[in-house]
Amino acid sequence: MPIRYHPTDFNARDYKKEVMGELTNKRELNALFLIHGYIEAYLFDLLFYSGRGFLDKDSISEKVKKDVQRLGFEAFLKIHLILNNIDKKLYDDCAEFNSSRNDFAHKIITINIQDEETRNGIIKSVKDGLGICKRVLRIYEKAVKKKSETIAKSRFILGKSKLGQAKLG
Amino acid sequence: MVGVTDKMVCKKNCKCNEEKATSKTLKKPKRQDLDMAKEKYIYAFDPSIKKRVVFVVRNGVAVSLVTGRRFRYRPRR
Repeated sequence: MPIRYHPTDFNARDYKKEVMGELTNKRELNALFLIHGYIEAYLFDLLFYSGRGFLDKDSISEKVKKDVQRLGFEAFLKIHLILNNIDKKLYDDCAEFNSSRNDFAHKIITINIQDEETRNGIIKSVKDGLGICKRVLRIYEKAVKKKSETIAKSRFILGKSKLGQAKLG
Repeated sequence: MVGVTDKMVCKKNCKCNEEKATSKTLKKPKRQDLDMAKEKYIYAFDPSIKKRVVFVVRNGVAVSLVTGRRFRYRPRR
């Protein structure tokens, strides 16, 4: 009986289609928060594929996971910059986009969303975000592929060695 | 030709030497190349760290990129 973990396809989510859908329906703020969410999710998840080797439940407890997630967008950016996962240009662009998003989010009850100038400002931020997300996703996919190549070379996972057989759970 | 004996000529023109040379130079495709061609990526729950992560699927087996945990994967039709 195969074990089921409710899997979904890696390419099932299309951030561009979803964000453009929100813009088309004149939900600019939704589009902004959505693209920001995608970028943050990719940056957080990228942490798990950046290291060498494999993690186990002792090194990545529930508390560690929650504490890391709580760090937030800016901290993720700094970590990836130090790890050399992203370059300074991307770091600066992400930081600027995050600042713009926070601006709109924190002033949400004071801004006039019906105002043409405000809407255009949000649309511009969304378009910047789409470009940033494309670059972040490229780095994310590269990290995933690199980790996958490591597994392909690993004799433990292929179960070729006796030690590998003992390690497999 | 000076220095060339019958034995040397025979070895040079003999077909069995060609066959030997072919079998030595024939390269088998690397396992890595075969594996990479059949892989697919999915998101699935990894119970080791209680998080949905990327799994690479090869030959019906999904392997977590984070913990190395694996399970048999059969896509829904």
